[in-house]
This record gives sequence, structure tokens and C-alpha cells, in this order.
Amino acid sequence: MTATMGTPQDTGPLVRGTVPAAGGGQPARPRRSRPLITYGRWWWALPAILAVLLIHYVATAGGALYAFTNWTGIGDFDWVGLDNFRRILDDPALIGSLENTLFLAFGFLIATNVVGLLLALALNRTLRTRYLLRVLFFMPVVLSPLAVSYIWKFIFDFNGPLNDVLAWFGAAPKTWLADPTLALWAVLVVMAWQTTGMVMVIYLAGLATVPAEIEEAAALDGASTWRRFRYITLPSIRPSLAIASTLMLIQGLRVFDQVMALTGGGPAGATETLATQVYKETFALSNFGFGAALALLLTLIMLVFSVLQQAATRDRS
Amino acid sequence: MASITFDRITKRYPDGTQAVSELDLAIRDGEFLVLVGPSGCGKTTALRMAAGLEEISEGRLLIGDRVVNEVHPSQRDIAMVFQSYALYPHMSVRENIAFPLQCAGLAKAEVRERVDRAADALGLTELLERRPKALSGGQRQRVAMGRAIVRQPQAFLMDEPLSNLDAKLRGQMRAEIRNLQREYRTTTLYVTHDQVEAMTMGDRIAVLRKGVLQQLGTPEELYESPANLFVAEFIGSPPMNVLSATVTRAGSGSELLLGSQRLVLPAGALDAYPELAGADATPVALGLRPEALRDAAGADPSWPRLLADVELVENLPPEKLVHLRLDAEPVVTEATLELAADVDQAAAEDLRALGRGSVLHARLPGTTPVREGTRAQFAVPPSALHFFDLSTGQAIAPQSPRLAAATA
Repeated sequence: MTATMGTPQDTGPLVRGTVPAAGGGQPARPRRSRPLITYGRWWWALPAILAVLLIHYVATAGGALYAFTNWTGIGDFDWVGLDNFRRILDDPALIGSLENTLFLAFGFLIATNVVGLLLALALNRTLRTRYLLRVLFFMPVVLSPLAVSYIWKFIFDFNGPLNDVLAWFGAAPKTWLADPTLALWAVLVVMAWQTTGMVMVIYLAGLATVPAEIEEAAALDGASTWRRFRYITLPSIRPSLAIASTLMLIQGLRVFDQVMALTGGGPAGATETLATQVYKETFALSNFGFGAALALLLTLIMLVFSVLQQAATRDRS
Repeated sequence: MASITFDRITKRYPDGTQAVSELDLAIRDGEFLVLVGPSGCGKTTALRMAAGLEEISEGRLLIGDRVVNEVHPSQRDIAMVFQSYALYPHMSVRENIAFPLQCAGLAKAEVRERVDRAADALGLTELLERRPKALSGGQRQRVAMGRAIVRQPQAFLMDEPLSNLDAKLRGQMRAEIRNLQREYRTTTLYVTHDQVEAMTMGDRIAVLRKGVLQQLGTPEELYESPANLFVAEFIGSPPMNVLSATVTRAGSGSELLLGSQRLVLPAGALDAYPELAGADATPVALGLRPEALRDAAGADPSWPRLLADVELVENLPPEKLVHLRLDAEPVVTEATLELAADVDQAAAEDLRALGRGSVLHARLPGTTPVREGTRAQFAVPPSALHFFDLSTGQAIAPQSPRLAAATA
């Protein structure tokens, strides 16, 4: 809005300045050439820039400073240097959380992208019911992660529907969320189930930009289904692949809601992640300094993986 | 190389529309056959059925002796050039041309050699490492051709490959495609809506209208003896003049009533037309090619004379394109309206509203002395008269074109 408001005043002097010159009177004063349509002045954006800087970056940087203190939320604190980080690396429980986080993040990245891409390919052109199916597969995305997690908690219950269904096939019932080896997979299933629809939509948008004709041309060139996918379709949706994988990796690294709702980090810390540890250390145990160190670590991990991800999916042409 | 045969092929869409109706068409081994018709006539659908991109509702499609109705496009061993070229945007020109060879599983060295040879034939050698994005329209067209010829397939299918090029380039590419086809002797089915392309490129031409084959023949056959009004008006530029006329008996011979004029036909001029032999007061549609109107001075005195108002003279050395007005009724059929609408909707409306007489186009030598705003006399060779049934639009054909020519 601000951009359009200033334009009339901007062009005013320009017009006035050129008229005498055209009339052959005084020589026109040389002025810096300016684009015909100007989109405003940089300083108009200052309030927004300041708000973002103060609320986001300064606050984050300020919070990061606490990572180097032993603040407990009240009273004074001392600078402790890198002690908090040493503690993290020495704590097997926290290393376990880091491992869980990476497992969930990459499991989530792979599951959502593979299934989302398969769904998008299936629902792109062929099926007549594709519009209905797209809606159905997208529905979980609009639900609250907490609500979804509580529903799945019910499904995973020892007396819940999942064990009932398995019983039909003669399988023994399992304690899905209380079994240390199964609980993390259960969390992964819930995360992927809810978000795959989102990835499907990203790939559908990408596939919509691929003209049917180049796939037809490839078929006539003698390419098998796999070859058409590998050499024609997939390279054409590379931008979607980059977006979907980066988003899913970040979302996976910061997983929190599902873990808290399904297992609370249990059994015996088997499903703790960095985000749940940040929460527990900071707000349950009041170790603000230590929590800030963990949060800073998580942020750095996200940053590093995002950059690596971008590099991996960049168009190499 | 192989022939392509459409055996009573019908395409019906789920909503009931019939795009192609019982098409019978045999493209001979090594032949260049052009499928031509106005937009929406089903020509592209027919081509896509040959490619396997469109399901065949009824009938059989054969490539060589093999029925391929159920054969996947990738197994048909045919190459197609698309209107949009359908180049792979993420691949270089070399990769684009090499793709069909890689699909066929050829060795790297052989792929390289054949791509180089195809590129050399098409003048693409300098462009091999470029992406399609960095090419001009004509260059893209060449890459699409390269991708088609490099595999040496059973047949080429081309879907309006020149329609995205400017007029000059189109003329050049027309000749290039024709030369390539001659060189490789590959059976080709070429789809276009442009009758000039059809006439200049095709060994034979198939004219399609609303999914129904109108006529199949060499360019000369289509031009000289069109099967019906639709073909008559579709082929030729400017198109054939069509007027309503009446054939009557007069003495020993016949006369043509054309508006307020009587054209006396030489004795025996209609002998070749059994359907008109006993004609008296029979209404017909009379077709005259623009070059059938000749300067009366110096023309055979036995030829009937026609008087018309000269409205406009377009000087196009070595020719003159003359617009004439005559008080005869134009023939407005569904077919003529469809053709006009294909060019311009407004033109079709004009045609419907055309009340006072008809406009004729005449193509005369540049030396002919005609002036705008005058009334002039033209001679019409009787052999150049085309007759059509007014109700069906079908040609009233002479027994033998040679016999009719002999009487002229």
C-alpha cells in the first residue's frame, strides 16, 4: 500500500523538470535517471524491518547469550563459557535425544517425500476420482498436531483399534507407545501421516507445470515408465523436490507436539528429542541457561542441514 | 519403414462427441501423406490415435501388418514431432536428440556418432550443448526433427510442426522437412490446417471435415476434381468461387443462367456430365477457380463470356488479383460457413448477410488491362467449370476428366 501512495509525488518534480528543457528555455539540470515507475523509498520499510529485527533477531541473539550463562530464571547469573555445551555432549540422555531427533527428521523427510510424491503421481492426471482423493489426503494437514496425536494415542492404545485389527490377522497385541523400540516409530508414523498431504500438494503443483506433451514425447521416444519418471518427470519437478525436502527436514528437526502428546518423551526417554529437552530443561527444570544452549544447538543443526539440503537439490546446470 | 493403415477407425469421447468417424486411410510405405482440415475436424485426434496417445474406440490401426490398437506408444517404433516441439527443457540439444537412442539401449559411442550425424544433417552441430530455452523457434523445430530422424523409426507423425514459425521460416522448413523425408524415405503422416502446406508437401492429401474423410488424392486431383464443395473451397488460394446457377437447354446446346446473365456453352460441353445431360432448369452450384476467368480479348470465341463489375484490383506482379461483383446468388452452405468461421468469425457473419450478389476472385496476368470501377468481360473455358449438387454439395463429376478436357 505504501508503495503506491508515494508515486504521484515522486513523478511530480520529474515532469516539471522536463517541461522547460523541452521548450528550449534553460538547459535542463542533469539529474540521476530514475525508473519510470518507482516502488517507493527504502526507508518506508523501516518500521517493519525494525519490528522483525527487534522481535526476531535481537530477541533470538539475546536468548542465545543465555546459552553461555547458568541463569535459572530468577536472580543473578554467571557467565560459564562453553560449560553448557560440554554438559550436553557429556550427557548420554541428550546425545540420545539428538539421535532421536535426527532419526525422526530423516525418517520424516524420506517417508513424507516418497509417499507424497507417489500420491501426487497417482492423483495428477489419471484417476477420475482424483479431486476427491486429493482432498481426503490433504485433510490431516489442516488438523491441529495435538488433536491428531491424541487420536493416534487412542489408536495405539493396548486396547485400541490397531491391536483389534491386528488380532483379526492373528497377531499378538503390542504396547506401541510403551515399547522403547516401537515408540519412536509410532511417533514417526503420526508425524508422516499428518504431513504427507502437504508434500503431495507441493508435488502436485510441480507436476502441473510439466506439459503432458513432453511425457508423451518421451513415451514415443521409447522410454519405459521408470525412465520417463527418472529422466523427464523428476528433473522437471526439481524445484518442488528442493522445497518439499527442506521444509520437511526443518519440520522434522523441531518435532515437539507429537512427542509430548503421544509419549511425553518416554518410555524412559526413548522418544525424547532436542525440542522436548529444551522445553523440559527450560520450563520444567528452570535451567534457562542450559535450555538456551540446547535451543542454540538445535538452531545450528537446522541451519547446517538446511544449507546442505539446498546444496544437494540445487539445479546443477 | 512400414505402412500405416486406419481401418474404419472411430473415436468417440465419453461425452458422446465423435471426433473421428469410420476413417479409412492407408499411408503407403515411404509415402508423405498430409491430413488436412479446419480446426476441430479430428485430424490431430487421428494422428494421436496413430501414435497411441489416444484410445481407439472402434476399428483397427495397423503399422505394417501388425495391429497396434493395444500397443503402448513406446513399443510402436514411431517418432512424433509436436506442434510445441515438446523438447526436454532440462536437457541439452545433444541429450534431447540422444534420448530415443538411449531408450533403445544403444552403446555410448554409437549414440554419439548418430547424434553427430543427425545434427550435421540439420545444421545443429554448433548448438549441441545449448538448452532448448536458448534456441530460436526454427532451431527448436530442427531439434525436434533431429530427435525424430535419429532413431530411424518405422514412421514419422507430425502435428502441425510449422505452425509456430513465422511465414518465411515456415517456407524454408517446409522444403527442409520434405527433403529429409525424401532422403530417409520414411512413411510420414503430417497434420496441418494449412492447405498451402498440404499442397506443397504431400504425396497425397486426405481432407477431413468433422471427423469424416472428404477426399483422398494427390494435390492435383484435389485441385482439379474436388469431390465436394467443402474440398473445392478448402483447397486453393484464393479459394474457388462458388455461385448458384441454373443449367437450361437452349437449342442444340446448353446455357448457364447466372444471375441476370446467360452463358452459352459450346455444343457438347456438358456431354461428359451424364447427370446434366438432360438438364433443363436444373439448379447447380457452379465452381470457378480464380484462374478460370480469363481476359476476353484473345480468348477462344467459343468460350462463354461473363460480365462483371471490377471492384478492386490488387497488383501482385506478375499477377493481378481482381475482385469482381456479380448479381448471382452466392452459395452459402454449412461447409462454406465453417470454412469462413475458421478464418474469422466476423467473415462468416458477413457471408451470411451478403445480400446483393457475389464477390468473385479472378487471377489474371499482370498485363491484363482491368480498371477498378468499370464493367469488364471475361472468358471462361468450359473445361474449367465445376458443378456441384446444390442440396448435397457433392461434385457432379464428369465421366472422365480427360474426356471433358478434350471438349474444351
